[in-house]
Amino acid sequence: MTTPAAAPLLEVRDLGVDFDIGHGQLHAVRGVSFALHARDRLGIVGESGCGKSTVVLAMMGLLPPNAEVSGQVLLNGVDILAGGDSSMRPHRWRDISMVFQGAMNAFNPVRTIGDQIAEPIRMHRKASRRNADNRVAELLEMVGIPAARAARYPHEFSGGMRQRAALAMALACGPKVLLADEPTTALDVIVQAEILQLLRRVSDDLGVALVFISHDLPAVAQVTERVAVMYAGRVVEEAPVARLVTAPRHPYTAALLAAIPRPGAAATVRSIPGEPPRLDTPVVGCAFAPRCPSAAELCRITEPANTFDGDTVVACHFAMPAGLPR
Amino acid sequence: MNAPLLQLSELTVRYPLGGAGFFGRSGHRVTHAVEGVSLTVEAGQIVALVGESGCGKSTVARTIVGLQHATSGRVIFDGTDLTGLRARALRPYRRAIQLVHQDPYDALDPRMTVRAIVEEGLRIHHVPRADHDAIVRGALERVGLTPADLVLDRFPHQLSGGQRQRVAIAAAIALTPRLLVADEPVSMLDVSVRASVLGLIEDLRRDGLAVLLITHDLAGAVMLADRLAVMYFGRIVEEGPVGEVMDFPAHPYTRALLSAIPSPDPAVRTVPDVVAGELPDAVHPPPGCAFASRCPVAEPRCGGHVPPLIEVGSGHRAACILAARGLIPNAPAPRPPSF
Amino acid sequence: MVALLAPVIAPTPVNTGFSNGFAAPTAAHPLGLDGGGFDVLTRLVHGAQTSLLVGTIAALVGMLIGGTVGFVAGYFGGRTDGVLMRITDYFLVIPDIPLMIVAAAVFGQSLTNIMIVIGLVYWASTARLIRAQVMSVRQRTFVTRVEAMGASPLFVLTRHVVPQVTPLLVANTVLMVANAIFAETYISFLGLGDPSVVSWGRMIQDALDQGAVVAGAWWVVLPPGLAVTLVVLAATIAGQGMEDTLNPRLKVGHLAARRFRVRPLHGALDRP
Repeated sequence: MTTPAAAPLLEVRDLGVDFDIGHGQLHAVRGVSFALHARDRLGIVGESGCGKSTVVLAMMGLLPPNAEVSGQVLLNGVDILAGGDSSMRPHRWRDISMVFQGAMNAFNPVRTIGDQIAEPIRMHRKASRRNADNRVAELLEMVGIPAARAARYPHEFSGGMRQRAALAMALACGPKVLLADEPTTALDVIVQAEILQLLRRVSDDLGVALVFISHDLPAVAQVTERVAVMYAGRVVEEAPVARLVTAPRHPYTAALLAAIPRPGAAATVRSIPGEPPRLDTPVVGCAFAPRCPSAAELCRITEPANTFDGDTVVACHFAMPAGLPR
Repeated sequence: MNAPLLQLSELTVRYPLGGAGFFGRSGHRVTHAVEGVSLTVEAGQIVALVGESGCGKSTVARTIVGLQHATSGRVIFDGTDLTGLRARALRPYRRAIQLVHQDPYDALDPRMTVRAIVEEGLRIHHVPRADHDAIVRGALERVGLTPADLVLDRFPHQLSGGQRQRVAIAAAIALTPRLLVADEPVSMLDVSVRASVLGLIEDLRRDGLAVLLITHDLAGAVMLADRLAVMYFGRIVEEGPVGEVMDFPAHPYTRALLSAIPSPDPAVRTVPDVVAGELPDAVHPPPGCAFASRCPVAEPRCGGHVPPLIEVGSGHRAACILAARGLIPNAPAPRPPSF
Repeated sequence: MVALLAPVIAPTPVNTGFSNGFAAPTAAHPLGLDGGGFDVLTRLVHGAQTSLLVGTIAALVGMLIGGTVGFVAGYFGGRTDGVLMRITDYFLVIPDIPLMIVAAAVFGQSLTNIMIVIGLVYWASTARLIRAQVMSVRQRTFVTRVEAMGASPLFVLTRHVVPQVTPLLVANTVLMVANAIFAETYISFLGLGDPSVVSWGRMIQDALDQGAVVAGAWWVVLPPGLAVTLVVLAATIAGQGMEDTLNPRLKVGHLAARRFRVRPLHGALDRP
């Protein structure tokens, strides 16, 4: 973990994203902030609709025309979000790059894998054919694909291999920050474990800062050092992963941990009743209050602010005390 | 001992491949989806069929409910051989065996109300009109959608994923089936909702329902199941009482699966106990053990012939020649994560 | 446009001659008289009835044949599909105008024949479209779920497949109306139309036969041509609009070049 004094490589400040949905606005992201230093590995965990994918798409500047973004995305101290698409494009893939959700199914079926990985190299670095091919071979080796397979087509690869190829493509221009959106979700548990290993290795070897988005908390715990838990467009807790898992401070984190299936402990695995709030109306009070076992009247009236306690951030009026077991 | 409720005997399903001929006939290539699967489910039992995508488990589910024809082998339900029965004769069994699908977002006709969806099965099976309302309400309340009035007139898009899946289950139990085949019932639901839907399925056992749970999520399966069957590449490679299989996994693939489940405890680095490799080609299956290409303890002998299921404990069988002779290196059984 | 559908409002009886030749538009005859001395407006209005009637019925014929073939082929698949699609392919390939000419020559030039012929020529593309849609609906989980419950094919078709596919069928039929009207105009223009009935195509043909262009009588040529253009255009736009909304694969909204908007910062942000 780097010392706090070093300036962060990438900083997201009070990011907000609203979507214009015709009859109103959808407040998908409501004030998300975090910072990454080189080699950091941050996980963003949440369920469907919490806004985690929207956050990383905003960081890449890939939101659709009906989106309105507020806040800042600072790369080496410079706000690249301010100029919209034109200020983000030069950094795309060269400084920040992404493995999209379902990337393994997003390959062009009529072009070889090698060609597709080479494409960003040739585009961004204006590389010659030969240089690009060399780089492709280098990337494939890094992700564990035999270089000879570069001439094959996507349908000749298994799902896990295609995910590795998508990772190679994301690393093609040597980015400093890699965003991985649900990279293992559609994969079998054994292949998933292999990909998680790969992500750890790539981050270590290349010094890339990694943001790992998933709904699968155990998978995230295997790769990252810090985890931010999102609910209804906000980060409700951010802490070092070991502490988050053993002593969560926010009731939602605790509930999420309690919902993970554990063989032999069937009786204690619990679902969270109710559903996340619709974000097309402004949220009054804490978004989790309707489902929170410890909600009080204050929670329904006032939205909790972020409280900072050492290396932990919690957004709860009654954050569970640090150090106490669940 | 009573005859089992469901018995699969050497079930084999092979799909023809290749483009359609001039009038719709197909080519010669064939993919081996399911090979020689034998499995039993007793009344009131929950059996989990676990395996990764492409292993054939969904094909087994579809064959049991009649959406797919078996190439060979038999599906025997309550003593009657269902394979080869014609549509008319099959009808009562289509009521007794119900399928719950993986995708709750596509399983409900978007144009129909919840009431109509749950009622549909009753219409198909000519249940007297007068009874419909009571049955529909009863089914909805049984799956936890109470009061039923709140959802009866809603449309699927007004419901969450978990609620939609409950509606699908209600539609299934409205017909009072004896066997529920649940194909990945929670894999498309949020983690925080899965436990309650799985709990519901387990609870249905009280009504005398037997369940065949098909999933790739080993941890989730183990929470409900009495017996576990592990599938790989179209065959069952291990089966037995769930506690036995989890504590003493005999087949290297089962051990690999267990070792690969990520532990939420970051101090424990999950390293899958498997050799890097890929699934064999389903069109040209290898002559020997299909797992050999990824097996950490494979020997040249493994490529000779497909290993049969052999007894390795009481009611516990595994398809590995090394398991039979107790030759798997005596590493502690990989424990699923707990904290 | 819709007003033209009730063409019984013609100002004068259609077959009454008023003079022996062309006459420019006047108050009494807003669109003038054509070469035969007939009131152009009257003929236009009656012609509307014919053209639209033929267009709509021909489109309905095409829709019925095409739709049925599409549903059956799409739902049952296999051999049935193979056979039906081969037949459809033959019809797709047949050149439409020559077939219509042959049909007119062989079966006579009546209105009914024209409608049937047009329908027969154009049903094939509808069949293909409907078949594709039916096949895709058939894969949907809610269909297989009900099939697994023991629903008969008829049950599934009528209760699930048809309702999902019908909107597209309607959109496609509207487009076919446009094609059919145009085809009818074409046929009539070529002189193969029903000689006892006035239609826009016929009017154009008559205009040319009677030397309207040479005589500078624009009021005879222009109205029918304009009318056909406008109706066909309206139907096409309506049909395509419906199809765009209903056929999700045709959407290209996500390819827009315009990107997201950034809200400007106001005030300083502070974060410890």
